[in-house]
Amino acid sequence: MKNTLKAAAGIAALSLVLGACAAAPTPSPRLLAAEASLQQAKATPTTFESGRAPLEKAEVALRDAREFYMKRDEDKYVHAMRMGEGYVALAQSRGDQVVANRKITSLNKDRADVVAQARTRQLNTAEAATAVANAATAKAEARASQSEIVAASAVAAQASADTARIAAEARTAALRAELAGYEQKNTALGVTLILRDLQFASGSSVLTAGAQGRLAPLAGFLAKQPDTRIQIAGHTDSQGADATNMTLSASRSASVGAYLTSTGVNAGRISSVGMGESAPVATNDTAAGRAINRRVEVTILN
Amino acid sequence: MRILSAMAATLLGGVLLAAPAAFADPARDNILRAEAQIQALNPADAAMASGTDYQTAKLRLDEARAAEDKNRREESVWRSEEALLHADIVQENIKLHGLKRTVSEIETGVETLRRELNS
Repeated sequence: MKNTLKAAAGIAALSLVLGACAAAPTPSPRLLAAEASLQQAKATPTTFESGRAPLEKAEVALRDAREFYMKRDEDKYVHAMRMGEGYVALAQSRGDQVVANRKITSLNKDRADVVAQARTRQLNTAEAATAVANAATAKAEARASQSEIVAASAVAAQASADTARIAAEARTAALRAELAGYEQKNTALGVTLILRDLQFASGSSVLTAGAQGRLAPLAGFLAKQPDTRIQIAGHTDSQGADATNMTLSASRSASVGAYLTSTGVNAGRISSVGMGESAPVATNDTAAGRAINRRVEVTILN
Repeated sequence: MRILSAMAATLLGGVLLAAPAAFADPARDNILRAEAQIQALNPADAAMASGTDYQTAKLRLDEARAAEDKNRREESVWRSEEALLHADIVQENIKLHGLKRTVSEIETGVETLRRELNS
């Protein structure tokens, strides 16, 4: 009897336990996921710190949700689930904001560092550029000095040339004044004196006394200008044979040269040439023209 | 007599003070708060930062109004509470979105500066 009662009690207890197990449903995957999210949020320092209030509300809501789920109170369960999930999401958003704010602080520091580096580099570049510019300036100044020297040299050379030109002009003027008694013309070689009235013994190259007197001013000039060189060219008219005229003109120019040498002019300063009838300056058809063509030209060489 | 008058006055005062609480409508108040909170959100920012939550908030508000219309007070309160919570989430996500955009901009700026510095 006693054993029978014990067995009945055991069966009754087992039935109760089994009945209870059958009545308690397994938590829904959604609830389990929400609880896991809550635990994860609480374990994340930034979310836990910044979302403490919503996390506490989420914990209460999910506890209610589990209770309502177990009681199969669908409406309350759904509301509690929504609130629990929402509070977790709110806490996560606030935690993420803290992370983003820290990231911004860190990035701002990075940016400040990079800007500082850029400024330093810019400064170095500017200094280098300044050094290069200074060197270039110095070089330019040196070049300028050199240019000034060159320019000064050019000015000096020009001045020297001007001086020489003025001296030459003065000499020419003096020469013209001194030799004013002769007909003159400027040529590429120098100043040419044209002597048409030199008298030679007929058919010869011997100067008459009058001719020597006519050459006296030239001889005096050459004595005072020891560096001056002259060229003497004899010309005839077209009367007579060419060869004869050539020989005659050459001997007459040589005769003038010989006279000047006799006055003390170095023979090395004198060259003479016979042109014959090759270079007339007037017609040979008239006596007047032929008289013009018969001449001795003495060129004072530049 | 004076004591009786004082007691009557006190009772009347108590009744007057309690009247607003007695006439308060939590469901209606919650709906108004949720409406105000959702309207305060910039629709473009809300859609970009937290589109699903924004839609959910509006949906729950509509459900709260519908429950209120059917005189299902408890359901109306729950839906309006959910609408308010989603509006809060949207508000926080808009802030988060702005911060993330700032992070991205600064990152790009720093990267550009570094590139220029090393070029």
